[in-house]
Amino acid sequence: MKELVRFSTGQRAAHFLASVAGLLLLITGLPITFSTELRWVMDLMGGEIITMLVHRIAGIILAFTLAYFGTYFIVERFSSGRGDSNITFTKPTFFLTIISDMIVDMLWTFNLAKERPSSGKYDWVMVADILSVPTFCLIEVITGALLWFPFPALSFNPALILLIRTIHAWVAVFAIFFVFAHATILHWTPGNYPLNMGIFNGLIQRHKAEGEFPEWIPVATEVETNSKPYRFHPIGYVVGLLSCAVMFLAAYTIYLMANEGLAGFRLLEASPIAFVGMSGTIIIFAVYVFMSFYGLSKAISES
Amino acid sequence: MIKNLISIAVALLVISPIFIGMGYSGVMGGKYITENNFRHFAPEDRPAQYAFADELIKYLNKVLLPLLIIAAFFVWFMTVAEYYKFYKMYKIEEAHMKGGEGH
Repeated sequence: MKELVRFSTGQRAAHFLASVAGLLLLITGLPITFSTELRWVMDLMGGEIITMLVHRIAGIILAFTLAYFGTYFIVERFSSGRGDSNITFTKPTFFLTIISDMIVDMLWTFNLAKERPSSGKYDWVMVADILSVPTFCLIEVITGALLWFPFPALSFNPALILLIRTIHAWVAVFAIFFVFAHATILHWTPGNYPLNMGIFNGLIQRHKAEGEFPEWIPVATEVETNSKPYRFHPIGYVVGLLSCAVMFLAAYTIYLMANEGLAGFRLLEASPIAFVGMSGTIIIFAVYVFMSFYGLSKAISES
Repeated sequence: MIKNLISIAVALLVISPIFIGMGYSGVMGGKYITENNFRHFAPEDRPAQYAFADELIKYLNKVLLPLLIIAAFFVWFMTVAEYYKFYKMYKIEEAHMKGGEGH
């Protein structure tokens, strides 16, 4: 089958490290904010000392990945230009195009526009991902490092550490939805379920790319592989529905949250909806971690 | 290869302060909260410090919490809409290409 080379080894390595580290950070960090609902996570992992050790190790891996891929991206831009990527930082109109693409794409989805916007290598969803992930990671790495080594903040105002903790929690809570959206759309949708192997083996089937990224085809590199035609299993609809349902409960949980100043950003009262929503979130994220390792091992075995 | 090596070197340099910090504080460094804490400030100054941070957090939260709730539900709605979009695209692709059998 004809396939196109979509991601470099550096991109795939960065995605794997950032996704596993990010998921582990959420799995071990959310029980701090939702201490009643997710107490079972800490108990299951062997207590708060082990959970926080895993959190810090994952934090170091995330910081390393952020610095590694940030440098790789900059060096590559200066040495090779943007290659087959359609992302440009020199034309401000590019970002306006992303917004208009999002609107037209949604109109097409609901039969209000005749055609989808014609996309280059990265469509508007992916550009939003590519710009958001490093921003979230940077905020979390900086605030996490300040929580780990709080002395500069303490010497200025000892209470500021509580503000840093709140910002760390805010961004982490929003990251829940980002991870859900990214994984549900790009891995658990018809056409991708159960796992979009493109980010693991670096390839995309040509016919799929023709439908999704038509402007990228002329500049993409084509290879012949032994991959089989894609078949979607209907159980994927159940998985997608489950993911969207848990995501909704998680969003409702945020609605129940409040901030009591120095006491932090938290749920003021125990809630069964929050328990189901946040526990479901942790379970789904654990499945994502498992799927990441499965995808990596499958890509290595097939290479 | 050279791009990877440069990137790894920079990344190791970036995270090195964390390891240095671990050597100076916490269980490995011997120093922790007892030697670096609110004792920088006189007892009579502390209520003002905490009151300032309390007000700052409450103010930021007043602005950001509604945005966070709107963003959470917006991302959820977009996820459901995107799921439907991919379903629609898959049906079109399946009708024309049959999962890629023609290639």
